[in-house]
Amino acid sequence: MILILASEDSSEAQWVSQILANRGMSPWWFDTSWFPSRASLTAQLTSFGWHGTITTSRSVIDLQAVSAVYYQQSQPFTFPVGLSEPELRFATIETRFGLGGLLSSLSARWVSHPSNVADAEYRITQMTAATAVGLAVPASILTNEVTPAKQFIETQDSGAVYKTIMHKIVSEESLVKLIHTTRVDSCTIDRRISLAPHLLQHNVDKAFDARIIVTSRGTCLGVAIRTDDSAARQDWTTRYDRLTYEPVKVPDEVARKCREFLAALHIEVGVFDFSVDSAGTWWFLEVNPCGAWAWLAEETGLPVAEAVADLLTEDNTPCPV
Amino acid sequence: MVDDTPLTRPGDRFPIGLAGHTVPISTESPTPGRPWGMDHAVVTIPAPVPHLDKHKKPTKTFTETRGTKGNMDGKVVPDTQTVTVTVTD
Repeated sequence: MILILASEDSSEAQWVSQILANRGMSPWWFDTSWFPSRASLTAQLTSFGWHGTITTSRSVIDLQAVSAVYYQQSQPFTFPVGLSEPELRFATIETRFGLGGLLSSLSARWVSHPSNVADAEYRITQMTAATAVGLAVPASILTNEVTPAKQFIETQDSGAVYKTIMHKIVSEESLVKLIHTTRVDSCTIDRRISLAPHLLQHNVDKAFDARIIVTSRGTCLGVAIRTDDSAARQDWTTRYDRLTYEPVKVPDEVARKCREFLAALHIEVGVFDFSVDSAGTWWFLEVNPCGAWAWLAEETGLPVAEAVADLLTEDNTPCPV
Repeated sequence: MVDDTPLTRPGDRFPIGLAGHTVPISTESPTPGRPWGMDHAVVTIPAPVPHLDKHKKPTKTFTETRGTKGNMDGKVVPDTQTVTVTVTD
């Protein structure tokens, strides 16, 4: 049996589940936010591992019968209102290591394993791996020092951009704010840069952006993302309403290096973002092991869900690189 | 709840979500000494993707209420806090 371990409203997981259903399979679904309010577990240790069940309002998941897991954006647990901070912390950590340990130890094919996903979320690690496999990565500097930051910006012939390393969301003044990729000027740099490492990167003079979905089995599906909006050209996530999408052929060499990248980080699916310049160079920006692709598949008709379903249903022979 | 271990081992991070993808809604105002990168935070309401059916949310933000504790007349009492959970691309 296949387990969908995902947020209840994940479009990607819903689509994969539908493809599996079309193939005559009825996957189990478990959303970590259901625990403990809408789910319970019991498992006993045997010489073959933990045997037991997770019971939800939808099904009784037999842990021993899980052969593959599609892991996509787990959500925080839901505890009763009114617990004290120490009580909430106790319940959260015990659940995290109890339920988390139980799921992590499943002897199943993971697409992809949460620990590997967590490792791959480090953007700095991604950039190292991308460079190692030969992908083109824009000139970059990570610093919390004023002078190197200013010098880097001033030596980029088409300018420099600032990108967060992880924390894209800021809440203050009761507002939720996002930090997009932003063009920066060296004169704005001041000593406040010393409070955290800041990532600055060469501003790629792009012809278009591309999001490509690559699987460890060799599927590589690319979508060109174009816009005439100046802000969206800098960061297309700022203006979804001004974008156009079309399938794009990914150069074989780029596709091969992306598969090598997945192998290096032990992940089965990667949602890669590239900028493509007028010379045809594909510049690696980042990869998200649990990235969004459903709306792109719907816009372009690319069979991404089918490719993920293939990964979940195939045998466990080693993946070619 | 946010991890308080600076360099958490990867296995320890499962499965409460990614750091930086779950942030509490704060009423606090920016300070003059804020990290430089935070100057680039902007209020953004994701525009809907046109002509899509069920797969229409590249970015989603929602809020939920969780138990916590508050202070009332010097006494610690149960309270709730609103947390925003945003899953980005």
